[in-house]
Amino acid sequence: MTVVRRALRSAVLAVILGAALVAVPDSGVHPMESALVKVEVAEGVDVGDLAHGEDVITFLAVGSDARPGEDMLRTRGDALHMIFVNTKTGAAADIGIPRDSYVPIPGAGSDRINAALYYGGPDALGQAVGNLVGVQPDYVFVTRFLYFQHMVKSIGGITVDNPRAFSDEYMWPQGFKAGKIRLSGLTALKFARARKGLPGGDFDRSANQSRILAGIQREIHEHQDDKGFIAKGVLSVMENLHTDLAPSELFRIAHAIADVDPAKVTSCVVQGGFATIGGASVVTPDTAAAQRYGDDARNDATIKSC
Amino acid sequence: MRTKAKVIEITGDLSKNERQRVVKGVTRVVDGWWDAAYLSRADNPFPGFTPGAAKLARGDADIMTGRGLLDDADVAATRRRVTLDVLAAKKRAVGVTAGVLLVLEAGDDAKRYVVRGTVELERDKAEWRIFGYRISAGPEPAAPDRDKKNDNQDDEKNKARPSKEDKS
Repeated sequence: MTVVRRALRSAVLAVILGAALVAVPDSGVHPMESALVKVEVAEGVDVGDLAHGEDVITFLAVGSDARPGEDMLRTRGDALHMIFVNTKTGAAADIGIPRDSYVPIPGAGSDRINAALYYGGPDALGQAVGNLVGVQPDYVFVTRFLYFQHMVKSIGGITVDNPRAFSDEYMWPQGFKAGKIRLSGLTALKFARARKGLPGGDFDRSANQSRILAGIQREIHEHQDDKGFIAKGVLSVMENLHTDLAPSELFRIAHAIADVDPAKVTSCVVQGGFATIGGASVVTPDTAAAQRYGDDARNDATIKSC
Repeated sequence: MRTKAKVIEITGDLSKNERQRVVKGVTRVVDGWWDAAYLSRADNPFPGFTPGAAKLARGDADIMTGRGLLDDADVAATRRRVTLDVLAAKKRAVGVTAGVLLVLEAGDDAKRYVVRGTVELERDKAEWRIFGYRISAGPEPAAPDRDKKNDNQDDEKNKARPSKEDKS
């Protein structure tokens, strides 16, 4: 199915003291007469049949807990985010799934959801998450600590809006300040993994991971016109992330992600209670909320409320 | 008027021959769009677009063609530039983000219109196709000598540059 995206917006080009500078592609800048010029802009990205829905393409982004020497496709999937991108409107949504959510695992009874990657690889994990939110992902992307660090480094770092100062005595004892903070590859990894010192524990950690993902998208959106930026990003993804997509398909998706409007990104973390099952501490997820988030996001990549 | 095209960035490895093929292939597609959409009244203003992108562009015809800009005036291109930012995998170009600039003069009073932005292309077998775009279009105050002066300056600059960039 062909998927199209369309946006038409107007931009007003302001002037300064009788001169306006207009950039032309790699040809330098050229002064022009002063004028207040209204410039119409048309944009769109066709992702072809990469999206199995009408306008929305869905990914499951997985951070594997694999340590050096371990197969990242057969260990626990500790960071789990179901992402929706609306290629028509430029909206995007992110549903964070706590890793200890106790759910049915295809072919393996019930267990913490992060174990699905261990039992059955990306497909099983995709199915387990898809069953929880009611929407099966089009693609599952898996990365590991070092690769994630490399990917963030390859785009020059990111900025996140941290709502509260916190530190994790094991992960990052020096702590993170509140407010807009700039993260490198290493500190982004620490920010995504830190849990101690967060009042909401793993739920807050998942929300921080959503902030990381939003920061990555914003960085891509802001720098998409820098020469080589998108291409280098795609190359980094090819080197640091497991996916079945061809480079040309990744290139298309990268441009679709770059076109997301950061102001149209919504995210929620599936909340839940705690229980001990089979001697293990688990989260009993709010499945009704998970399904509601999935229903909200499936058609327009927008979650109305958490 | 011939389009000036050059590679400004390559991510990955490409041979010189492959680079030249990419430049020619992408330029052909961009030229096809410009000639059909702005310099003629072709039935299909978007040759070389994917079906989905063509559908999209038809909805943005006021910008993506000369329809909204130029009425029925005689139109000539005074500047045609394409820059290529190439993604290569296994020594083969798989994606291009092309910066585009088309300057048009229309009517007896030589009003100038500028079409600029980027188009994104992928290779489908041997042919390149446009799957995405971010294009602005609008009038620009006339400055008759600017193009000629700037083209000459760019040519001088390009002569001085090392041969990493490929020009056609």
